[in-house]
Amino acid sequence: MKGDALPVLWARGLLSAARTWKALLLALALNAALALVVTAPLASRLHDLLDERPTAAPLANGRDLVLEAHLLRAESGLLGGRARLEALGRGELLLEELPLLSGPLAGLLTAGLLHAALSGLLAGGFAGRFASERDRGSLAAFLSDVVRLGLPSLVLGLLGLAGILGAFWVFVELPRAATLSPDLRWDQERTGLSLLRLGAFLLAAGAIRAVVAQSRAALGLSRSVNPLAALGAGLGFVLGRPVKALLLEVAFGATALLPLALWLLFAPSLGGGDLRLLATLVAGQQVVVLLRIASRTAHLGAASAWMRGAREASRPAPAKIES
Amino acid sequence: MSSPKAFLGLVLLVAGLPARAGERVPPVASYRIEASWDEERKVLAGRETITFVNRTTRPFDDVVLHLYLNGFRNTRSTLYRALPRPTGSDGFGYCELKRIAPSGGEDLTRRVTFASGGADNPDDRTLVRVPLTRPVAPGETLVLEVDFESRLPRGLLRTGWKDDFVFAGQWFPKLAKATEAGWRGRPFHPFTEFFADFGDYDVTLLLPAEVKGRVAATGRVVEESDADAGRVRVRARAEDVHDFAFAFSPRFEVKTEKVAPKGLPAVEVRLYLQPDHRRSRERYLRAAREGLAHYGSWLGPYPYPVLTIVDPPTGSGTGAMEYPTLLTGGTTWLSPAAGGEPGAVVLHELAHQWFQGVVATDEVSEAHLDEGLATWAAARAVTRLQGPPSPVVEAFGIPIALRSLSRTLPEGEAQDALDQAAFSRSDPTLRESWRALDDAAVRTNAYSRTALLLESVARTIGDQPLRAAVGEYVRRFAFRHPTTTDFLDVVGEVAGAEARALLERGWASAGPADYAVTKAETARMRPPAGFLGEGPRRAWAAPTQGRGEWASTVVVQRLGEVAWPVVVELRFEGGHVVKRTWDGRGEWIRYRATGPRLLSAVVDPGRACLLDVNRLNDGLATERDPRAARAWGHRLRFLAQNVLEPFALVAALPGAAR
Repeated sequence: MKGDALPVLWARGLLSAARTWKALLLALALNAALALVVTAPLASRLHDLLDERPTAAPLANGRDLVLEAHLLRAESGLLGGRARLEALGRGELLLEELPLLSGPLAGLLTAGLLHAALSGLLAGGFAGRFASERDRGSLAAFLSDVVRLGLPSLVLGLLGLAGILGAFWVFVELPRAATLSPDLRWDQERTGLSLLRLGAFLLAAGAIRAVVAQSRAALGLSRSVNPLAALGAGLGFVLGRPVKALLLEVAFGATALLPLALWLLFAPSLGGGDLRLLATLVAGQQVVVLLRIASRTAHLGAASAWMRGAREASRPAPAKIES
Repeated sequence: MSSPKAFLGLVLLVAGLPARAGERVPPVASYRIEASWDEERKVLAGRETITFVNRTTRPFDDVVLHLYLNGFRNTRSTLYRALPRPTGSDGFGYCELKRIAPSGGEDLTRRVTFASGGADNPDDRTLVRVPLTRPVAPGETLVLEVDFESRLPRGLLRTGWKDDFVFAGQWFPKLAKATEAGWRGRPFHPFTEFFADFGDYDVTLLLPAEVKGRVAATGRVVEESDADAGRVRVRARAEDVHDFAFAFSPRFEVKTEKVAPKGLPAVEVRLYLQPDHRRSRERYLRAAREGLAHYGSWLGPYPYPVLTIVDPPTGSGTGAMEYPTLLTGGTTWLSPAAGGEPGAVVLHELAHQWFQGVVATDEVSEAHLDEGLATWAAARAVTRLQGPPSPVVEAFGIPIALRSLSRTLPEGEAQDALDQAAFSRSDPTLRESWRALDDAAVRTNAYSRTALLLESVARTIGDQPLRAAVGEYVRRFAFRHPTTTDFLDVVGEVAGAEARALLERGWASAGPADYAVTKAETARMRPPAGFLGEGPRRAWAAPTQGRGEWASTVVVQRLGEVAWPVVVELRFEGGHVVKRTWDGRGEWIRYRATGPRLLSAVVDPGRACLLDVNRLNDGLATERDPRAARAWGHRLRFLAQNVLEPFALVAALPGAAR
């Protein structure tokens, strides 16, 4: 199997990520701290509302749609503006209304943006480490790379985010009415067109993510801090190998989501009473998040190894000097 | 016009008698219609002969006709003033009177005036008044010949077409309801339905030949024969009904099944199914089969030999509607069985065969009498026959049933009524439906609030008495036109005065019920302190810590408008439970107890009053229990940790509990 074969790249990526375990733990800690801060007001408010109410007890054991409706009616601002919340629940909230969300939903949106910024900054550090021959596991070297490459990496991340939002608007929002039109005769048409819409978006988003990963890899390898130059290099690299780049994105996407999916499907539900179970579940959740972050990081590691290999392969062989 | 005076006395005698179970009053408004469908223009052109028998004790010097399709005539109609404007010509329709005259009499067409709502909306054209040259005396019969042309809009509000599917509802000029106070008719209002007299229908339609064998109609299709120019002549007849609708499509898949519930007459169920909804065929038939048995044994046998179910294409605007002997369902290609559809919609519309089909109440003014009773009856039928449905979310055209969750009925689908009562309070249910502020007020009052109210009454006074009262109401008013007062009278008579009073209270108020435990305190009893005793016996007793028994105080307050009898449950240490009943009428009630330590107080622990808008404040504990908030905080933090992954949004879906 060649060094740039997909399974090899996948394994090399994971291996590279594993070597940066200290940095991964740091990323996990920052992620958890951010989540804690963002959800603290709502969690605290829930304690105020529910702790003295024996009628709230069913909420501890999972979902109770009727009781939740009563909770939101009694505290109509609990999750933010009611109309937008309902639109979000129906899947009808327009993209341009997202910034108008209020309350904890706005907090979640902010958390998303902060997570994106954080992962953009940290990705600069990982790109630097994966490009380096030495001290891959050094936290100090990682932090130094974050300082040096964090900002250009963040710019690449923001460009990628803008691209994905654009793709969402073009492939999901714009044709929404047409694909759900009551004028379509058959249900199969409606479903087929909707899936086509989803497929087009996923393809575009996957391609954008692949370009961002390769651009960050280029950023690390070139030791340049010019994000546009890196973007050019990444884009050129992906355009030269679009299928494999997409497959690499899919492979690491699946690797990242698999633990999350398994957790959502099989993890035991917390009733809130058993503190040992709570501790176990929190630990399990952190493992899932760590695996997810590691998989996304591994994508960058694989991208870096792939790009370096390609550059080495295209470099002309040194001249033989005969004496 | 004929004048069978010799028959008059007998007719008045019959009309004055209360109808008994299975007895039908003689027809009042009967129609013989011949109409031809023009596919290009979406027009039904035809002639109808209306036979009106005046069974009131007053003469009529005019007739009032509904031209319902004029609601789609232009954007000035009452209907389109309240709805989004259609964007193209397909959204418009009309019903035009070409000629109207008594049989063998003078042409009255030029005397027709629009009577649609007067000051409400002079531009509405959905109601016309036709002065007669000679009044119709009590017991007399008037025969009217009417030529008309009706254009169906693109499917909307229960009528219209979509591609090759056509559903014709409210398509012909139709008499308003004759009452002792005169004609009772309102303009076609978007949020209310219909009201008419019983009669017989004999309808002949000229339709495209490719729909032969694929025509669904009120009553029964009795004849189909080939006609000229690639057309088919279809004749349908229906007796003892107050409306007539039909549907056709060359793509209908027709399935017929003989249903013979135990101890009830056999019924032929005819299902007209869209090919892309084949997966739902058995669900349709099962709901009809079990619904006929369930309602039949409770409300009396389904009184017609045929039940027709039309499955409309998605987006046709004609789903979930009831007509006598014919109902429309609604499903989609991938509709998951756990979501309960189309069974739930069939059971709702089937309940209408009794609540509006047989007991023909005024849907325009008292929508709660048909929609509320049907919603409540269907909620019970769905729960019993199918189990509580799971919520369904649709992602990119794929409906997904969240099986880990279920919606208990009726409250799982009726929370809109509580929102309305808590936030809007615009209209009490007893306000005439067409006068309500908006669609939400009509919908929540007629459907959800009434269903919650009936279920609450059943849970408060007992299930069996209310069921018996509703059954008696149907039997007593079969093929008649009762009002809310008639319904309440039967409930009071059969289920008792309290049941009647509760219904009246719930319907008369626009606001909510809301009981709250606002105080639950418990403390060790302390011996008296201070200067105790009189004169020389006066002695100082220093304040001390309490010991021994506990003194507890609980306050329950009525925060809502609707008063309801409630149970208050006090739980004490050692497993002691004390229950007290409060009539719920005052603003508050206080309970004091001594003995073991109070743990919690809960008002209405059995959730009898479903009109209570805030269940959370129904209880108060003396010690905090952080489990529910802790569990939710835990879920929220994990969601926030994964918020960047779109897939993690699954965690926010109603089905994801972890």
